[in-house]
Amino acid sequence: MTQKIKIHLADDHQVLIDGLTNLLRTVTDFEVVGNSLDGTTIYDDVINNEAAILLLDISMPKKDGIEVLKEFNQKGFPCKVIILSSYDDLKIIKEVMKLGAKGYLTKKSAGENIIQAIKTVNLGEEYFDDYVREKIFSSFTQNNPKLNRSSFSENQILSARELEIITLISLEYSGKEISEQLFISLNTVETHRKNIMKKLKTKNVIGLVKYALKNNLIKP
Amino acid sequence: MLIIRIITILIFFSTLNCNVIYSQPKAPRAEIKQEASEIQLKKDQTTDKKIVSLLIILVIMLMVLFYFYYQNNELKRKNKQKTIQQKIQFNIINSSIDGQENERKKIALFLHDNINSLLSSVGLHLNTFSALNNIESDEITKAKAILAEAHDRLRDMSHELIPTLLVRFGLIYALEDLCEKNSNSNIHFQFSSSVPTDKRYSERFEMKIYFIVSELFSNIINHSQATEAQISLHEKKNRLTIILHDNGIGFNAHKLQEMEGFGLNRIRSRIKKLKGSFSIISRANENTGCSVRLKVPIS
Repeated sequence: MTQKIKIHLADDHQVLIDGLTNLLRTVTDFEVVGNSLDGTTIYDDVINNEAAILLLDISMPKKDGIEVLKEFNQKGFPCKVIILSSYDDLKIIKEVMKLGAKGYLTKKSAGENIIQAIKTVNLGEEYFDDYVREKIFSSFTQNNPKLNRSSFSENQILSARELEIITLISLEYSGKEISEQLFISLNTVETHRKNIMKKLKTKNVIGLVKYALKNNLIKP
Repeated sequence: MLIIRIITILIFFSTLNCNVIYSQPKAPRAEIKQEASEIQLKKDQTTDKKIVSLLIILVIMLMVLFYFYYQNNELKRKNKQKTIQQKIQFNIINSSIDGQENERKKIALFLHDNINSLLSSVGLHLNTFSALNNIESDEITKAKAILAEAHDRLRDMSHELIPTLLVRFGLIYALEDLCEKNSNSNIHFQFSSSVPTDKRYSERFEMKIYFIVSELFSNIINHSQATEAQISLHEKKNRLTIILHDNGIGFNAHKLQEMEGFGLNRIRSRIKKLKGSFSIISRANENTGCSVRLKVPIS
């Protein structure tokens, strides 16, 4: 039997914590081991209950999410952090990702995506909900004239994230640049690249660029 | 002072006059002396006449002076009243703006933090329900879609009231974001700042400047027909200078002084309260320039 994923919740609204707890209980692999209504004791709480994942709100009384992340940066991360916030400003997203968060969910999409987010982050990848992901991508590429924005529609083979990665590769961004700008690890970029190549059945990057051109992802 | 001096001169002359009258009965009755006395009398009469005319002139002058003095006082009083009235009006505008800003902040934070979390937990419970019962019903999908829309509207509303960026990351960040948000295919807002983006001022100051700039932005968007606009921020000697420029149709800055709308009045009174200065340089049918200069209050 695999070990359950221990989760700690931090939000100043009890009603949200209750809702989260209820939903997470429906997943057998998850175990909610604690919660906090403000930021002051989160570090000690997480050390004590050995949670693997912390769901953290940004706006909390006494000590907010950003302060908590700063504390983690100083003392070392006791667990992986997913931000669950009502903020969806790009600057805030970038700020918390720089501070070492592994995922970002808006409260709007919490119900739909939280389970997937916890599973993804627990496996060592980063997770953003669609809205956040698109926002990060478009801010990175907004001034690139070669990008063909209109073609970003449904694609049967590739996921939205994979489309982003193949586009950026075709625009000659390095793996490191992509990982820095999209706030994902180099490993994740590589995994995506390999998956795309497998899906498109090509052996090298040239095949990816050809695909991108053929599907009007970028302008020649 | 002048009045007092005139009065003393008047008293002096009138005593002179009295002396003349008193000295009359003392005139000698001798015949030879009578002629002399007649001459004397004539002389006295002419001096009398002179004194009387002098007196009349003096009285007239006094009246004129008094009139001017009164007029002057009246003018001063009226001016004082006017400045008091202006001050009152100015205070009314400012306190209503202050009140508005406080209310805005309160409502925005409430919507953003509380209502948002409530909506979110509704979504969580809905998801729990469908997970537990393994149901995929249209009703639940619809409910989720409505929830998502409620979230969007709430976010737009609270952003409109007060940008969360302003509260959390400060003025420079928020203004940069404002430029990005307002830029579209019709108009582009260029942002430049010599002030570091993480610089923070007092919360009141940041809110005031932010709303002034966003009001100027909406003026540009709604009236200027511009395609390019620039904003630049500089800080020097404890003074924050904001310069806004656009390439729109412009307006007659002189005409504006006489009949400007409430919007610019509000901006003016806000800047006045910050003890800053505000100048518009623009001509109709040419490029318009608008520059705002403000002092940063030390707090």
